[in-house]
Amino acid sequence: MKINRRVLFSFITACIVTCVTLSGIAFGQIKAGQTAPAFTLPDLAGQQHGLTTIEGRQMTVLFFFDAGSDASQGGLLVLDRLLRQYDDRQLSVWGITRSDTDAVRRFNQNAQLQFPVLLDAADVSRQYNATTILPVVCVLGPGREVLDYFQGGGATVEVMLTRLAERQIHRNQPRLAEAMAEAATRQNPDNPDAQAVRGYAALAQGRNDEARKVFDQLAARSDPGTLIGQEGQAAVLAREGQADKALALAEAVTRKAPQRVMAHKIKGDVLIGKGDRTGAAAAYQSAATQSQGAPFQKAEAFNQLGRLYADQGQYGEARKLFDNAVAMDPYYLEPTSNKGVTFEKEGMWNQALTEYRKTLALDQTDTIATVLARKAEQVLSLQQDSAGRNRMDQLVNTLVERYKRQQIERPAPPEDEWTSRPLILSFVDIQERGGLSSRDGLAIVLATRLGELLAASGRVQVVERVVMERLLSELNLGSSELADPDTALKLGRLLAAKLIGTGSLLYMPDSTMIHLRLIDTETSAIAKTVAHPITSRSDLERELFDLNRSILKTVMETYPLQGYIVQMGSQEAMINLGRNQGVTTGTTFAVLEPGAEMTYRGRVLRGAMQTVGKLEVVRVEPDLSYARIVEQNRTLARDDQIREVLTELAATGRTDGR
Amino acid sequence: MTRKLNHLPIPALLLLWFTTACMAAEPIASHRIYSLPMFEAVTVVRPWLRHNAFQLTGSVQNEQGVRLEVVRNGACWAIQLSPHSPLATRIAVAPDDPADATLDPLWQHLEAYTTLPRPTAKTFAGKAPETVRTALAATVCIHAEQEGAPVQLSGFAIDRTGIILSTGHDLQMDQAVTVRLRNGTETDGRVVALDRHRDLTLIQVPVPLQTVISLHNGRFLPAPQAPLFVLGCPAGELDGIRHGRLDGPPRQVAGLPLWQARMVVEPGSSGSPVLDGEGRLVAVVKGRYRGSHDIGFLIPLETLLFFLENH
Repeated sequence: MKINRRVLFSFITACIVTCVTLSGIAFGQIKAGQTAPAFTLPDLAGQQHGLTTIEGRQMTVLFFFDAGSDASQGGLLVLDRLLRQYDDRQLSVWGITRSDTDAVRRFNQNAQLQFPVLLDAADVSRQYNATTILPVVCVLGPGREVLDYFQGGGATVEVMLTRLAERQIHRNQPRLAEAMAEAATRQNPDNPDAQAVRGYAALAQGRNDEARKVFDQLAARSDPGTLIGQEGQAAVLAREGQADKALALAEAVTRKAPQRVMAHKIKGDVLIGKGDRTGAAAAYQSAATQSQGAPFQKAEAFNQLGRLYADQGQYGEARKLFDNAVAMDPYYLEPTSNKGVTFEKEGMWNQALTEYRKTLALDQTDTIATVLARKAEQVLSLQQDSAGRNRMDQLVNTLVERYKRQQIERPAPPEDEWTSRPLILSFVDIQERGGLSSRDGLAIVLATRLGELLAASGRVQVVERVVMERLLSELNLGSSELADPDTALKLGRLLAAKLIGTGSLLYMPDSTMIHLRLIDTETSAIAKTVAHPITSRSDLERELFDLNRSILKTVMETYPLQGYIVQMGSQEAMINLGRNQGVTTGTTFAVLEPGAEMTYRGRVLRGAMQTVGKLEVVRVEPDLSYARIVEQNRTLARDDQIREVLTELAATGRTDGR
Repeated sequence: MTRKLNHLPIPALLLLWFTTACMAAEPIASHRIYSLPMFEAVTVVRPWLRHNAFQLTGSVQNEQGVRLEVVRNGACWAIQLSPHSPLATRIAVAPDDPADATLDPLWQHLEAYTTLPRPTAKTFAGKAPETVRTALAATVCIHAEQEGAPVQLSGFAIDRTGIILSTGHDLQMDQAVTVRLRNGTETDGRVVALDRHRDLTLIQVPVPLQTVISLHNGRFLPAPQAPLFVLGCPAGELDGIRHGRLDGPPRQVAGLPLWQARMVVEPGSSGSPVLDGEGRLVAVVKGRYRGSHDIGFLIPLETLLFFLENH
C-alpha cells in the first residue's frame, strides 16, 4: 500500500500537537498562585466534603494517593502522625484517591486516618493532574490559593515536608515546623534545608542555644550545608546582639554564595541596627532578588525593605513591597498590617481598615491589628458624624490657635482646692529608635491601647488619641520637637492634662524596650518612669495590662483622692467624690484633721494631719458616694477632710517588677 | 407566645428555660477579690468560660460593672464583676454553693494569672561579670585646662574611628585635651561636639580605638535593685570597677532626666560609663552629690541618644 507522504507527515504532526496539547493540559494546569479548582467529594461514610467550605482555613493540604501503593501513601501517614501530635485547627488535610472503594476501606482500616479520605469519582484528580504520577500534594493557602505543588514520592515527600515546615514559621506554629522538619530529616538525614528549619523554628521560640547547636552542626559539614549553617549562625549572632560577628559571617556567606537570601537579609538587619539605612536597603534588595532560600526568608526581606520605604514616607513603593512579601508567604501577617499603617499615615482609613481586617483574618488574637482596626473604625465613624466632626475641627482649631499664640491658660484655682478634680492624662508622642521593627504601628498601639485601659479604670480621663493626632498633625511638629520635654509639657498644658505620657520604643535585635515617662505638667516632675521589655514571644496584650497596672498604681499613690464629708448619718457618711472621680465600692478613705498648732517664739508651728477615722465606700453615684464608718477616734462630722488610703488589696496590682 | 416558642428548636428552648430560671431566683452570692483591673478581669474570665464549655447566655454592663450569665450541664450561674478599686475586681457568683466545685478551676485560673512570676533582674554576685570587665578597655582618662587650672574627666570610646564620649562641664568647643588610653598611651584630642545643656561632649582622637562600648545595645532603665558598674578614671587612675545601684526616683533637672545612684563617685569620675550586669550601657556619671562621696548623679542613656542624634 502506497502511503501519501504528505498525509503521513500531516498525521504525525497532528499526533505530536495533540500529545503536546494534552500533556500541557495534564501537566501544566496547577501552578503556584492560581486559585485551586473547587470540588465536592464524598468520604468513606458518604459524607460530602466541599473545598469551598474550608476556604477560611489557613492551610489545606490535598493529598492525592493510590490506596494500593505503599510508595504513594508514605507522606500521608507522616502527616497523619504529625497532626495527631500537634493539634492545629487551622490546618486541614484531605486524602483523595481514585482507587477502588474496597481497597480504600482496607487501607483506612489499617491506617485509621484522622482526616477525611475522599473517593474521587468525579475526575477531580485529573483537574489536579494527579492521575499518572502519585502521590500529588497540593498545598492551598487562604482563599484556595495554590502555594505549593509536589508530584511523586520518595525525595518529593522529603521536599514537601521541608516546605510545609518552612510554611509553619510564619503561621506561628514553630513546634509543628520542627516536627515536620524532623520528619523530613528522617527521610533524608543529609537534607540541610530541613535541618535549617529546625534551627529557625528554635530561633522563633527564643531558644537561641538550640538554634546555635543545629546551625553549628550544619556549618561543620563539608557540603553545601556548611553555608546554610553559617547563615544560621549569623542569624543567631544577630539575634543575640553580636552585630559585628553576625555581619562578618553573613558577608562571608554572601561572598561564597551571593544567591543565599538569608545572608543578605541578616546583613540588612545588622546594618539597620547600626543606623546604616542605605546599606540595609541594598542588602534587603539583594535578599529579595536572590534565589536560594525559603519563601518565608524572602518575604521577610521584602517586608523590611517595605518598612524602610514607609519610614521615608514612600508609602506607594512600600505597599508594592508588602504585596510582594504576602505573595511569597501569605501567612506572614506583618506586611499586611504594615500596609494598613501606610494607608493610615496617609489618612486613607477605609483602606487601612481593610488591611487590618485581613490581618485579623489570619490571626484574630493579634493585638496590634485589633487595636489599629478599632481605631480606624472610630475615625471612620467620626468622619460620618458631621456634628462630631465639626466639634472636633473646632476644638483642634482652637487648640492650634492657642498653641501658636502661646496662650496656654492655667485654669483659675478652684474655690475648693482640697477636693480632687478628674485627673486628665495625655500621651503626647512615642518615638521609635534603634533598629527597624518588622511590624509598624507599635507606637500607635501603645498610646491608643494604654489610653483605653487607663480610661476604663475610671480613675484617669485620657485625652482622645484622635484629638492628639489631629493636633500634632495641624501643628506639624517634627519628631525632634516632640522629643523635647518642653514641647510635650506645653502640649499637655494646652490640653489641660495633669499628666503627660511621653517615651520611646527602642528596637533591639532580640526585643523592644518600651520606655515611658509620665510628667506632671504643673510641677514638671517625673511622676513615673517605666522601662518594659517586649520580646517576639511576649503576649502584647498582657504586657499592656502590666503597663496599665503599673501606671494606675503610680496615679493612686501619687495623687490619692481627696474630698470632704458632705453629710453624716448614724452609720454612713456621704462624701463629695463619686464614680466620675474614680471612686469604687471598697475605696477606703482616712478622715483627717489638721495637727495641733503651737506657737514658738512668735511663730505658729503646724503639726502633720492626724487620722481620726476611716471610711469604706459601699455605694457609688456619679458625683458622690456613701461610706460606712470603719473606725473613728472622735465623732465624724460634715466638712471633715478625707484622703484615699491604698489598702493592700486595692494596691496589689502587679507592677512590672523592674 | 406559645405558638412562637413552638417554632424554636429544643436546645434554644432549654437555654431560654435555664436563663429564665437563673433570672427568676437568684440566690445570694459570696464574692472573691482579685488584684486585676475590672477590664482585665473580664478579658480573663470570658475566654476561660468559653474554653471550658460554659455557654454564655447573657452579658450586660450594669451600674456595678459587668454581669455574665452562664450555663453548663443544666446548671446556671450569674457572675458579677465589679471594680473594688482601679486595680482590683470583686467577682461574685450566684449561686455560690461550697459543695459545688464546678467553678473552682476558674478561681485557680485567676489565682495563677495574678501570681504569674515576672522576670526579675540578675543580682550582683560581688564580682564584675566578664562582659563588664571587657568594656574596661574602652575607658579613657581626659586631661584639660580650664582657666589655667588642670581638670580631669573620664570618658569612653564609642566609635573605632576615635570618637570618645564624656561629660561637657569644664570643657570648651574645639578645646585641645590629652587623652590617656587604657594601654597607657597618651594622645592629643579635640572637643568636636559640646552640649552644655545635656552636659555631654564628643572628643576626637587621631588614633583608632580597638574596644568600644556600644550604644545600640544600651539599656534604658535598670531595675532599682539591679547592680550597676562604673568604669572610669577616678582620681586620674584607670584602676578598676566601682559598683552601686539606683537610689530614688528619677528627677528632672532643667527639663532633662537625671538619676540618683548609690555608688562611690570620686573626683574625675564624671564621664564614666555605667553598665548593667550584662555589660550594657545604661548611663554616664555626671557628678556626685556635694557633701557625700557615695551618692552620684547619672545621665541616662536616653539623653546620650538625643545628644548623639543631634551631633
